[in-house]
Amino acid sequence: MNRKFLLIIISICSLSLLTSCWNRKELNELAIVVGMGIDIEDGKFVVTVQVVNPGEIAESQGGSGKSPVVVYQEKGNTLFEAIRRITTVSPRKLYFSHLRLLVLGEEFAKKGIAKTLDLLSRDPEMRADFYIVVAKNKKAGDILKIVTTMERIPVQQVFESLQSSEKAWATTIQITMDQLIYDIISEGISAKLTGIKLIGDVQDGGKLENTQQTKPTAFLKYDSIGVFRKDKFIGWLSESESKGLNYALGNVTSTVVTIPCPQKGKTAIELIHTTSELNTEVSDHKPKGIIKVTTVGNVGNVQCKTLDLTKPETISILERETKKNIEHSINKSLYAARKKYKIDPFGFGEALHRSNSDYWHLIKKDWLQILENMPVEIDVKVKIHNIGKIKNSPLNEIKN
Amino acid sequence: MLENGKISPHQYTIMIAFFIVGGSILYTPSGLVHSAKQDAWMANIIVVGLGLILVSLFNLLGSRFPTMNLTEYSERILGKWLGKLLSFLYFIYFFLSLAVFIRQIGDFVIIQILPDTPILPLHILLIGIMIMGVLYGIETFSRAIEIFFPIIFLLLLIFIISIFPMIEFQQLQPILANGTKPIISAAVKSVGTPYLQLVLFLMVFPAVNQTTKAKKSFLLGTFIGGTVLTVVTLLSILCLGTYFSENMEFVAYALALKINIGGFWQRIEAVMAFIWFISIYIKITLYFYGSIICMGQILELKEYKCLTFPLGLITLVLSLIINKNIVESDKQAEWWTSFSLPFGLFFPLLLLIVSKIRKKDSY
Amino acid sequence: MKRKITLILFFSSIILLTGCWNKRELNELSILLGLGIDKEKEQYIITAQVVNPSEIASKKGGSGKAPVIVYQSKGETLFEAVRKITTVAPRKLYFAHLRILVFGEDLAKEGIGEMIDALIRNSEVRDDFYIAVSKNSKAADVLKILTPLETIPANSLFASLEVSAKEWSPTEGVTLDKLVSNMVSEGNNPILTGIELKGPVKTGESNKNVDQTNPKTLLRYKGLAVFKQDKLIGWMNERESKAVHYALGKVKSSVGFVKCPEGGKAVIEVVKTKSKLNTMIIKGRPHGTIKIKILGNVAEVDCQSLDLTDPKSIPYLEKESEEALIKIIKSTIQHAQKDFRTDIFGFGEALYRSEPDYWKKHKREWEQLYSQMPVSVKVEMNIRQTGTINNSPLHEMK
Repeated sequence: MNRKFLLIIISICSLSLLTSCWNRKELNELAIVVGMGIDIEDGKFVVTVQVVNPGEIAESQGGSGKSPVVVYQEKGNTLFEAIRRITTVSPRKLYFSHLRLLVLGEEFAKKGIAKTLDLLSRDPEMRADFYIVVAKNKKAGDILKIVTTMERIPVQQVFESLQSSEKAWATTIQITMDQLIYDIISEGISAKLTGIKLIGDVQDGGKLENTQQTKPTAFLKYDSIGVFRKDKFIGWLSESESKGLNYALGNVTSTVVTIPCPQKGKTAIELIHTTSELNTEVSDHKPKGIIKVTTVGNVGNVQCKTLDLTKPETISILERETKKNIEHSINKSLYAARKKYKIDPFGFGEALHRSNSDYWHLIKKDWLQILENMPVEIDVKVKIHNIGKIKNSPLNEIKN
Repeated sequence: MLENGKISPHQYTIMIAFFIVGGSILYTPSGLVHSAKQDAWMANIIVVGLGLILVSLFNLLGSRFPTMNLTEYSERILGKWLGKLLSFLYFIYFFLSLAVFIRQIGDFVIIQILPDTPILPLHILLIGIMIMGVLYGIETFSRAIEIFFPIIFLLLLIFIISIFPMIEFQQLQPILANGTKPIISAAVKSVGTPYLQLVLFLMVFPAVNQTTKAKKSFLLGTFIGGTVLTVVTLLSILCLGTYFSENMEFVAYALALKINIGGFWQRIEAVMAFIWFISIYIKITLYFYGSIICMGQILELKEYKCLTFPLGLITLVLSLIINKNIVESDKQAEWWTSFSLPFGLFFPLLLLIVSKIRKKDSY
Repeated sequence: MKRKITLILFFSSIILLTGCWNKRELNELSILLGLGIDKEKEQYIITAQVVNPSEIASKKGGSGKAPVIVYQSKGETLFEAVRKITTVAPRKLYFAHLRILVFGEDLAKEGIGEMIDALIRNSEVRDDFYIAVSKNSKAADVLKILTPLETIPANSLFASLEVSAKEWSPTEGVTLDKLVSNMVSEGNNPILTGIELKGPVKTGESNKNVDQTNPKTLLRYKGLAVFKQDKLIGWMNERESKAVHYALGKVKSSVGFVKCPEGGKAVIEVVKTKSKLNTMIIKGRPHGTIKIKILGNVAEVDCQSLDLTDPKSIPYLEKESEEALIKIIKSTIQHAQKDFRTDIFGFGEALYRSEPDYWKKHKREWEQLYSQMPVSVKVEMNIRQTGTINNSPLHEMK
């Protein structure tokens, strides 16, 4: 009995005593950063942070009409300086563990991002699970100022949109910190990041009125993928090139492919499971790349009158066309990467390193030149399983 | 004798009704409407008639050897090796049908209910419970069916009544606009699914404990199943019209989707799916049972349960590769009748005639 | 022991078996309520009206954000455009709760068939939503407008279409399967209700629009879009649309008026209608007949001369209203026959039902036959009640 009593006392005491030590941070002393943007202006770093406004988020009954997030912006000679300077305006210390999105300004990315990444990966508060995107034609700061409707925290919306667009449309790519650093330092693969675009005006987008309209005047939209040479941003891929890159990297799970019908019109094929493999082999001292894509699809939408979906032959025609389309976009992305930008976002070098490491060490220095003319075999296998709820389109019944 | 379980004629009736409804409730109208248009329901009545004639043939054969199943007496009638060959052909027929029906369920689920789900796990689940059903034996299995019967019957009734407000009688007109030819040809074409398939019940026939009653319940079961199919066909023409009845992939399900009474009695299509799942489960399990007994008889095993797992595994693989896509499955329905014809009609007829000539019966 | 294991297995399977690849949590879905489709050059532009869950769910008013959000995207096919929305929206669109589909007028003129295919092919789309055509504006603009009373505009459009179809009758909610059946039929053509935008789009988009008692921008149903197969070929006005619905027997309840013998009007409320449409062959030529039976009440009398206590006045009203109705229906049919040359009444189908052989022989030239086909219209009006008073107070005024 006595012992039990003692135990209870001790445990209650320890509850109040063991509240972590020097690094203890209370929730009400922190400003939780969910989004960070980095720009460069006249040689100085401009850091923009989107901080959750806890009062607005916690309230279950609508809040007081204030913006759910606060955006702070400061300049500094170094990134660290700029971040610390924010405390002069923010009442609380910035807390980075919940960072969801890092936006890099296009100008800034062009100058090189390696040093910045150094700081970010050095800071123990930073986790590596946030996504990194590039602000297309705009400052990263502007992207973070836009308020959104669907999710109360704008960055959360952007974060989810990146996930859903990669899952369902596949022209975007989710890159986290560790992946980006790996891509930059590795010699056999180049970095790539998704671009985000601001449509409309920053001034309008920052106001709460923007969310009071059914169609916001300013909103954010993901665009295609941007590519880097080492740590410097060098250009954008087009939509179909981005898709091609994602096919090769195995990032596509589901997307829609629009193919022409045998005669006039178009058909949309929904790909539902896609897997791909990227390999290299060396024969006669010459490297060769192999991209294998296997995909299963459904007929999603028939917009022509001539397609007879009760015949198995029609399905093989559609399979062939889909295959062509996928091969075409992979080829386009190969061309853009190798000829236009002279980089290797696919990671053929990495693959070569894995398969023939001796050979790789031999040619590593001239890799990009070798890559430029390396033959790449593209092997796409398409299987169309289903055609949806109906067989022939009602268009088939409409004469004239 | 591989099977020692006994089932009652009542269970036998229910089993047959489920068997007929199972494979066809989602598919029937489509094929019939394709050629017979709005007169498809008449074609359906003719098919039921044809089915009943077939069943009488099966009854004749079955009652000649009341304690033996198809494979046993084919060996008896045709001699050991020829009989075994015939049994093997039947095995292939049952086994292929099994794979086709499993694939149908998979296709249905991934088209209508879970479009992003791969077909493999669905098949594994299905084959799992199918193996379970066979391992328990025909007696337990048929009792389970008996439990399901009132539930399914009630649901079907609810389904049919719920559709009534959507009926437009003018969809049926004009009656016999294209003459009787397309109706008869549609009827003959669709006799394959499911009536020729009833030959499978010659494998179950000896398990029924009263032979004379078994004959009656065979006919009754066929009649009940056929009536349900006719009603579904009629309803789909009355509610959806000929275009949808012909072009929808799963007509009966589309019918269930339409149910909306007063804005609250709606979105009950799961009822339809449930009816179909139960009945096609019964169908595939019977097919699996049939193929296993067939194989056991050919190999002259003493016990058939050891075959379930290996054959189940083969079924899984076969069901995945039997059709490349849904269009092929649909196409297959068209030639399935001609494929079933020797098994469902010629061979039983042959057995009957030869047994009469050679004066063989069970004793 | 064995029982325990079964129990554990049972409970763990509840947690594990929560839908597999297709599981979608509510907070991962954008619930689509209204969809607008326009065409620009070769590209389709879709406008999706999506519920803003935080605004709808919170009980006390929310934070003043718009109750719905509109996303737009372009694509060569409808499916592609739908998927592209994910680059703007945080969640994937969920189609099962679609309430209204609006086609832009320009798209409708080029043909809506291509769009219909995607909708009936997709297993997520049900056919319990209504379809309308935006008149004189883009479908996109219609979906941007916020409405009073119902917070969700798509629901408001859906409900008002239902109510006005019941009470007023120039509009009718057409569902996807009806539209498709009429579109593919050789002896029938679809009609859809038109939606008109009143006021500027800009003001309608904002929450401020519904803060006023008299919103500057409104949506209203107006007219009937007449299709030939899948192409819009013209509009009918309110009077004509009503006539079409009378002819098709779709009027559940409506209001009409007749002139009194010496000026003024008497209003008749229609309670029940029944119509029969037939096509017969008379001397080798098709001949259409429409028989309408109407049950009505006297709802309002604006004239002094009508003595409702006089047994003759009811037959008078009946006759007058019959004649008036026959006149509009006849002129509407003529309009459809001569100007549009499209069989929206389904005379062709009626012919197929009554004379299948004749139909088979002549269905190629049906458009020609139809446009010259004489149609006789018979209306039988029955006025039952005169309301709670007999004579109008006006009657007493000398």
